[in-house]
Amino acid sequence: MEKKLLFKIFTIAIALWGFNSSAFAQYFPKTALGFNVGTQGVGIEGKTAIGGRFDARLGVDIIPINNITSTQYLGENETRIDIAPRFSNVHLIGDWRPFEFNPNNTLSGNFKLSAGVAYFIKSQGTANIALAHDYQYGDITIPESEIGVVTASAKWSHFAPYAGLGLDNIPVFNNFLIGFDMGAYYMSSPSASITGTNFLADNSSNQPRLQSNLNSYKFMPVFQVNFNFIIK
Amino acid sequence: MKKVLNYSLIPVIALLLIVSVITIRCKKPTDGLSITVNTSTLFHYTALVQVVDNSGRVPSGLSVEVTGPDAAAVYGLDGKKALTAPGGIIVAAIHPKMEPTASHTLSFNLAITGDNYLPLIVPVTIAVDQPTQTIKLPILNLTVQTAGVASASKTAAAVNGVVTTTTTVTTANIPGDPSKTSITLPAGTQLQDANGNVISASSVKASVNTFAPSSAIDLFPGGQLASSNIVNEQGNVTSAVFLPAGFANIDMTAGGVAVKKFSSPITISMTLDPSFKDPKTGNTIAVGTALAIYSYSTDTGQWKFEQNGTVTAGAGGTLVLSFQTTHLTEYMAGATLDLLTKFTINIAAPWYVKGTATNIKVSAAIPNGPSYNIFDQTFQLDSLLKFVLDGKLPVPAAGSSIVFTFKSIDDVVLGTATLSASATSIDVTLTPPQQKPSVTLALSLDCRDAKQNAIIVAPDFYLLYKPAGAPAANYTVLGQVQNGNITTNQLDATTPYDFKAIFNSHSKEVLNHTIANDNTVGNSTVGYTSFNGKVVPERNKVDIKALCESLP
Repeated sequence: MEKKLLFKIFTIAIALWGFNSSAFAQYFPKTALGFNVGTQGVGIEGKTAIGGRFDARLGVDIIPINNITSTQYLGENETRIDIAPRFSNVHLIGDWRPFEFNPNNTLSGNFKLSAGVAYFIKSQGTANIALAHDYQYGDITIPESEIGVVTASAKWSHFAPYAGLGLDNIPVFNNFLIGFDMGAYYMSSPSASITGTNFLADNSSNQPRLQSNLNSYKFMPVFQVNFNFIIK
Repeated sequence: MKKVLNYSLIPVIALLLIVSVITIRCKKPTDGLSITVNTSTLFHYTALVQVVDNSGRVPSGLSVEVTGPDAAAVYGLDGKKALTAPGGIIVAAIHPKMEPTASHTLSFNLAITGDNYLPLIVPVTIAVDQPTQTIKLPILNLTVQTAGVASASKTAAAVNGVVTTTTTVTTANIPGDPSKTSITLPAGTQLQDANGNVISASSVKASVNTFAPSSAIDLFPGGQLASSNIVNEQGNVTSAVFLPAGFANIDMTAGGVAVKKFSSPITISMTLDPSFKDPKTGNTIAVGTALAIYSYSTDTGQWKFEQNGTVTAGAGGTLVLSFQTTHLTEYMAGATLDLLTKFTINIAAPWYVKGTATNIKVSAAIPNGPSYNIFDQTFQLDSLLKFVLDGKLPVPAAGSSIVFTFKSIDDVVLGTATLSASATSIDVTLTPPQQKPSVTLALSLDCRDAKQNAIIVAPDFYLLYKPAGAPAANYTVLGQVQNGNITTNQLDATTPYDFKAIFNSHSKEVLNHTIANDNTVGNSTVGYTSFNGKVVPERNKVDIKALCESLP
């Protein structure tokens, strides 16, 4: 799912770039306000020039997804998994445009390298796992609603450094610019836990495996489109 | 365009690749996770019935049928409706949606039958504060000699279902006891089946078993003296506790059909226990004493008043009760007392550690009554510290009493209590039994051969034990294994034991196994309960892999 989203964003970016490339001009707003959409969620962001080819951005993001439900076999039992991602952050990021604007190379002045830090107000995902069907024990049927729930959760650290690059200040029409960011927050490995209730209470033995599976989830990839309005 | 690729697009693509690699190399969070359902806590009420063959043989080929008002609530520990009795062990578990309440005690019967065994109907009641109970009782093996029981059989000639010669069958002597039963089948008696149809056979085989109440009271029909299914003299169903001075079983078969009725009465003479005292009067029976005669149906488990009889003098100074009947079944002659329908023994045992399997033997006797105990059962202490005996005991007769004795599994008396009048409870303080070190047995099932998952926690099941090599009848319930563990202080770390795990139709024996109570390995303890020594479950594992096959 994540990979599909990345592909879509990339496709949109290429399309927009192709449409506007001939009309690029050099825009360096002193202050801009905008919103963004991407893998890190949706958010608002203010940007200001701090001298030379340096900008600073301050913004907030939130992933506005409530729950994602799917079914799959975990061991011998078919389960219904209800995932609730909860991510929101306040970030401060500095951008540096390494190249001077070159009329012969329309994107050269828009390319930027970015670095910063975010404080994640929420940085956790919770999955409620229940059996997809009633459970048959001999001749006794235990209703699905009474079997219990396994709650698996992963919590990441609140502070995360960011590094990335992108294209910025691409004019679309008067005072409206778009840009693209690609990078990642380094979240460090999450802390995983798993607990169960009722007849699923004994599933905490899965915790080491869950922790192992999540150890590689150290980065939050960022592919985002920025829409900025020039204030001055 | 070429310049654009050189300066901007290449790093963009590079970053895309890096991030894609980061994403792709991540494992799926659910990889290798296995959600298991532990039904260990499914059943909150269970009853274990251990049927033993007093000859020392392991009962085999027994069938179990559940009857009675709450039969629908009864399941096996494996959740199957059909109950089985491997090695004579039957575990009845109550469906979690049909559990007893404060106003409704569950009641059902286990009808146990088997080739060459006298049918046995075990009434079971489960009250709301009676989560577990064990009932141990014998079933009469008709093919071997059993202590306290004498048998005899004879074949009489018949023509078209009519006996041609008056035939008398008398049981042999029971060593040290005068109990004896004699039946006389007069010539001309027509043999009939249960529906009154004439059995057209050329012979009839009559078999008689007589029981000495003083030594074989545990073979009393139904396995207990109390019954709530009695048709009294007025024809009403009532309840009572029987105190037999004698009881006997009579069977006849003609042409392969069970004879249940006769066209004319046959005579039954029972030689009684001369030491029997009627607790209502305190008098020992003598010539002229009036006793009630009841019959018992092995098909329905119902008792029925037949008649009153008078004790007469028999040969050699014995006491005999003779009566006539036109139907066959089991008979008892003696006294009855009113049933104590609600009765609980409250235990004070400050030494008891919650979660430790501790069995207490409870017996009850009437000092000025019969010589035998009127109640014998082993209870397992639990956190409720209550023994529920609803419908098991009589109301003490005026001027009489019931004395309870409480013993450890090693037969050491831990306390006594006396009930002198009708009451719903008594209190007793028990002294601590012999303190053996507490050990935990780990009984996780190694199911790698039978199931995809390897080692799993078994559903709750009962574990029995006996000294290694002792007869199978010596198996005693150690306790209920919950979540794969049982902690007990009833085992000796230096003694080898035979263990037997029962899971409905499946059982597994582990023979000659010595448990460990290792005080030499550091100070670390393992397990949820620890006192008086170290708990070393990793050294107490008992392989019960055979049970895996029955897991759902």
